Amino acid sequence: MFLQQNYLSHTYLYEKRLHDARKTCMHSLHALYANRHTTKTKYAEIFTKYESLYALFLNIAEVRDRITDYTIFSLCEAELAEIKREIHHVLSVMITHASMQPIQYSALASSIERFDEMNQNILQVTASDPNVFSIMVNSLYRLKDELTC
Amino acid sequence: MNRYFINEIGRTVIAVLIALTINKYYSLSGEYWMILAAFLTTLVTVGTPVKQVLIIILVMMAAVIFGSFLLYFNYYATFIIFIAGTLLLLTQYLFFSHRFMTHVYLFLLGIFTFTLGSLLILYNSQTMLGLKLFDIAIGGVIGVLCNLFVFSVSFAARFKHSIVPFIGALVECSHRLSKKCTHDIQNDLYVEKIFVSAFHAYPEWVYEVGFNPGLRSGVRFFMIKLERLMEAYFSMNYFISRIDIASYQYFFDAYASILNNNARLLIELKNFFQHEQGHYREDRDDTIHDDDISRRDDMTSPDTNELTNDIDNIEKILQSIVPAQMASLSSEYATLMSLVYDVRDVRKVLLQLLAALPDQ
Repeated sequence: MFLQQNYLSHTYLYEKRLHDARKTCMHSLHALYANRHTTKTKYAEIFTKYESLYALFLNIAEVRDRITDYTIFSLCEAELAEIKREIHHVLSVMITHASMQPIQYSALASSIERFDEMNQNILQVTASDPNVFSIMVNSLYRLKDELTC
Repeated sequence: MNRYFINEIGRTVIAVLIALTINKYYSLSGEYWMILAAFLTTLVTVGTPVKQVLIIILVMMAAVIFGSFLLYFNYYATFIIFIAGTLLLLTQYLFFSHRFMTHVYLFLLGIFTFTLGSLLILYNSQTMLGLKLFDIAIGGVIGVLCNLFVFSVSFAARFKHSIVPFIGALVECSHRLSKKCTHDIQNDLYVEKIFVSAFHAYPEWVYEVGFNPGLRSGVRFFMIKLERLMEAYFSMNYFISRIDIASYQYFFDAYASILNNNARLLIELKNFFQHEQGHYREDRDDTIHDDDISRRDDMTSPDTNELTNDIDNIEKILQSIVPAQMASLSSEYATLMSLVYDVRDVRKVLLQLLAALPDQ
């Protein structure tokens, strides 16, 4: 969301898309919740993992409201784009291959580490509220852990 | 089926019946374009009676003109129907799903339809194309009039009615999280279960193309802020579930108190909408307007300051647990900080929303 150049001028458009995505996720979660006691499949495990990922994505998305000066994102645009690409890649592999082959998380871990370095060296000095980015980094590490386990 | 849905079905049926009657006696082309146009134009979303109808009519006209253009070259009729239908569906998808934000695309579609129509009427007048277009326009007028006057429900009243379950879900979340912080409940809290039922009545139509421009920014602002609260509750639930509450019991006691205060503010918000239902007057004093929204950052009244004391208190508790410069080094401390930011954001948004409400 914060990588979109025209987010501020097209807030309602992006928020509507976000709303649609959130609604789809919530209905899927609800379906998993309803089947969590089914013994044949690992619904309970999948539910917990999916719920955690959803909550973490929402937590990361909160940055868009906590940051008032969007020019700060231009400093870390490449790092954020890389993280986005890697998350997309990991999720795509998870969906398409569904445990048939091991998923490589190293690229995602490296991209988060690069963003962490950027945060320590630049964002903590330049951002009006550096804690926002510390929280974001923490959530990204947690996201990686949730994806890995 | 709620009463709004029944109203919509009734409106569509009446529009089609009116169109059928008029089409039988006064149709210029002798075909059924009027009925189709009346049917499609009653399917617009709430609060968008004119602009969406205009788009539907223009798209229908473009499809008819394109079909006539192909007929001119003697293509097969089924092929023409297929092409015109595809054009109709594709253009509708582009306009309604992709939601172009400017009027430029609508004007372009209008100019395209007008130019194509003029050319074909000039060169191919024997095909009754102009009469078909006239029938479509009459069908559109029937649709607009039915949208405005048949079983019409004030969209502001409907918005207020639809928003109450969502605010109720937020209140429930706040109470349950508070209990979780004080160990009153041990098991997991399924936040999505609380919100899924509230989403059934959720007024998504305020985001649609052509929604009443007078109320658009105010109502959409409200929706975005409410969803922002939902995000914060999901986040809080996740982090509270993954931290050892007993190790920071003093922190979580204060946190529970803030959650309860937030629940009180949410109940105040919910009460406003519940009391407003059925008493809506469509005038300037009774709705959420841009002017009210522009005052949302003005939070300097004494009452507002009192409502931020508990937030200041928990920030002090957090600072006593961890110095600010250490926060980025420890995952647990960053988690606590995230919880404080979430609850602070919730309070900020609630105060903004309460400040934006008109005086009762």
